[in-house]
Amino acid sequence: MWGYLLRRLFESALILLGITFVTFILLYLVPADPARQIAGRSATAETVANIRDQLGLNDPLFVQYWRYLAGLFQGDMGRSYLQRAEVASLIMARLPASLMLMVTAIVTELIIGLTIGVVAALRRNKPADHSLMIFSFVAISAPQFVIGILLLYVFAVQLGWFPIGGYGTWAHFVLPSVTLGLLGAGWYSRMMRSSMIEVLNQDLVRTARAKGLSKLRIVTRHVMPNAILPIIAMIGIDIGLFMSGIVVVESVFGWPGIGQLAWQAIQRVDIPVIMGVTMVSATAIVLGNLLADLVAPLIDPRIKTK
Amino acid sequence: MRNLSFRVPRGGTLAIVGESGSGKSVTSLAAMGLLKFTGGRVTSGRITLNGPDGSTEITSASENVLRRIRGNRVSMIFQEPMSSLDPVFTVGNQITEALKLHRGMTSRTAKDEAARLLDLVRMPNARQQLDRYPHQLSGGMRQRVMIAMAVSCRPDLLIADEQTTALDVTIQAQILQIIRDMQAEFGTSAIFISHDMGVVSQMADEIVVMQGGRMMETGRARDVILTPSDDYTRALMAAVPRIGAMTGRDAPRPFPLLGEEDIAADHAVPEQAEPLVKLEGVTTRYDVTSGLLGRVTHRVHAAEDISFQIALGETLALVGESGSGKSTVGRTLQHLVAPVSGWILYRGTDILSLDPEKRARFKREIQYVFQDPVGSLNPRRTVRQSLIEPMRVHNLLTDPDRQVAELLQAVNLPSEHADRYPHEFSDGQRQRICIARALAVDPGLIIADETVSALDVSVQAQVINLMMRLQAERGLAYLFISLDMAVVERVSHRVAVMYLGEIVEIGTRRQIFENPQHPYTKRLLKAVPVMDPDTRPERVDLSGDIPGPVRPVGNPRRPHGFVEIASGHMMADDHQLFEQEQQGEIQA
Repeated sequence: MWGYLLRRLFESALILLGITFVTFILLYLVPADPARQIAGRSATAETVANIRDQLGLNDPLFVQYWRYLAGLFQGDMGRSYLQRAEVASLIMARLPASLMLMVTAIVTELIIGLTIGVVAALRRNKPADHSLMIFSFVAISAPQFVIGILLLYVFAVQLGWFPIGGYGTWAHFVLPSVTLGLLGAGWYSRMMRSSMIEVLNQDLVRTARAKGLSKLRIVTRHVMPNAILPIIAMIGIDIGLFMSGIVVVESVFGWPGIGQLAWQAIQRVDIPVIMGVTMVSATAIVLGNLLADLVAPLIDPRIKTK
Repeated sequence: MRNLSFRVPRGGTLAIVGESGSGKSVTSLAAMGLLKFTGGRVTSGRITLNGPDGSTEITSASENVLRRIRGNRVSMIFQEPMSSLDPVFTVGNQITEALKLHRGMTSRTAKDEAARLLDLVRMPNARQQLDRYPHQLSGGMRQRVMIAMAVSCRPDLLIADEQTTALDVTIQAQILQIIRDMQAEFGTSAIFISHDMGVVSQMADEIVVMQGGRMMETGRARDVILTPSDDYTRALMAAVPRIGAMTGRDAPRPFPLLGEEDIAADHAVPEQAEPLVKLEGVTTRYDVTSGLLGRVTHRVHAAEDISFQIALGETLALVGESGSGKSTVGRTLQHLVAPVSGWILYRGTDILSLDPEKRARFKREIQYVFQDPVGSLNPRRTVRQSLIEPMRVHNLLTDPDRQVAELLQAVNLPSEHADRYPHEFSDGQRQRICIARALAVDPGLIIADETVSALDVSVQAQVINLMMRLQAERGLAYLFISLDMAVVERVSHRVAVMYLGEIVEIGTRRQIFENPQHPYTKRLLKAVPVMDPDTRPERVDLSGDIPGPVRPVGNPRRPHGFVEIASGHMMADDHQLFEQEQQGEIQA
């Protein structure tokens, strides 16, 4: 077990290293000149050259990359070109809000998605199943900003149940997490439905019936634990989806998280911030997958950690 | 299913026999009131369960009443113990579930009772097994768990649906013994649903023969087996391979099927100078890696020092139980896996040392027919496409239409069916298509890996007769891999018995079946259920499982010599080692 964990952590570190390299190269190739951005339109060529020099932008690529990597190992993600602050402290200030949003969104999508999946499977090919599947289809296809604005309009503007935007109380969480979680809920409901149907047709259900168990017990004790196994691996992958969703949702709801930070940084070519946010989300995805792989054997005894 | 009536006497055993689609399993589900879950319904008739506390009508009972009966007064054992058990719960959990429900036990007493039940079905270290999961047990052990679960509430009626079909013969013998013991212990009546007449003959007092949802014949087991009155039953009995039926004959012989009596002549091997294939000391091992660096810690000794030869027109049967390495030998022969050492000579050429291009020609010469015709035919290709492909690959395609027609004709299929897809055929027909595909490239040797095991007996007999006819017509050599001793006795000229990757005994069919020498061969033959209602089986040893072929690196099975019993009859000189392995004294 510990050997496995160690190997997986080592692999994860390698993946992250690869990501730093790829993103660094990509951003280096972007034609926009950050020095020009910092200096402003009216600055002289000399000022721009000075800034370039200060930032070390004239050094060869690998020197810049090495400098970045060495900093990263000491927890230094560089300074923002524009905000006059350490990237690490910018991110740390905003990360909790985003993480909280992600956790509530995962809970939301699991509750909605799994419930719909179970109900639809038990009512297969009946009206309830059809309408639930239409709902999940809509949830998957609708763009998140549309859902977000729609929810805002109905529940915040018209009904006034929830605040229009911002961050602070639990009420602030509801609409953004539903918006963010609805896409995943759509996917999970479909997966859970087909997974449930598959298990319902397996011999183990016949055995459970032959034992004289009640329907409720068969579904909760035997079908659901088996049906949920393929979903677990998905949750890890999901964190990646969230990272892109979070940029949209945070903008719609004015959520002070790293999604907004990333959006501002991208608009203004604030390379250290972009790199920082990318690293944080990559780490989240890698850790999410690792976590899913570690949880899977706890639930499915057939999976062995090697 | 129509108009079926029978009664199971208290403490007695009734067997329902029939081929696939006969309605056997539907009957059992109806008896449990489970039919509605599969979309079926009992439209007329009654099923009544008489117990010490009054009788219950199952067909009209409410779901609540039925739930109290299921698993309590009527319980079931199914065919596939792996898929019938819940993989994510421990064995103990699954047994105690019914105990808590029907007998109102607390978790602790239910656990004690579960351990006692596992002990009763002779599960070694019963208490420790409670915390294990189904996938950690062997097939035989899983089936013991199923039985323990089924008898846990002392049911009045036990329904066993093909409960030993997926098991090896020696394990099957143990399971049947255990069920007999349980019936004696609890006075349980039983319904056996089976296609295996040997099993039925050993277990049943009465037999119901079904076909296409109808009852064809019913009566006392002895009468139905020995003097069947119905035509279908007679045909069915004629197709059942009976061990011992070939005693005294040198050569194999087709089944005397209705309308095929004329071909029931002996099939002798033509005289010839040199064997078609010769294996010498072939050893195939698979590595098992573990740890951080993927170090090889264990090896699967799948085939060890295998030597045999097959002549043109001859059938060598390779018998043994799961994990014995039978299929590995077949795969090595067709270069699907590379052996670690040894020689394979085909018509005198060492094919392992050939370069890949020349080897391709020999791949054509050796063809494979697998067990599962559904899985081995591409569902999106017509029969014609499936037959043409191998001919095109080996540049044998001259006149596709004529060649396809000839191939189909050779396996007794109408050539008009060439443009149909595999799903439009029955299992037996699909297996014929697989045989036709193997014949397409005009091979010398066909490896038949459990080719007929999944087929119904009457279809099995037809396919075997077909294979024997093709052998006589084309001088084919067969490597017939099987665990069904009765079928092997019918088809083979010579037999090699495999155990833990080694051939422990090899000889002509008569030498092996009439004068078995190795303890494993003897045990294998004794375990085969005989279709003879007058002999009740001997008690079998209930301990012991088949040891596995996985061994730590550098720890091969102790080497041993061979002794020659008679001309061509060799036996491994490893009796002491074998006994120790059986007693579990030597752990690999």
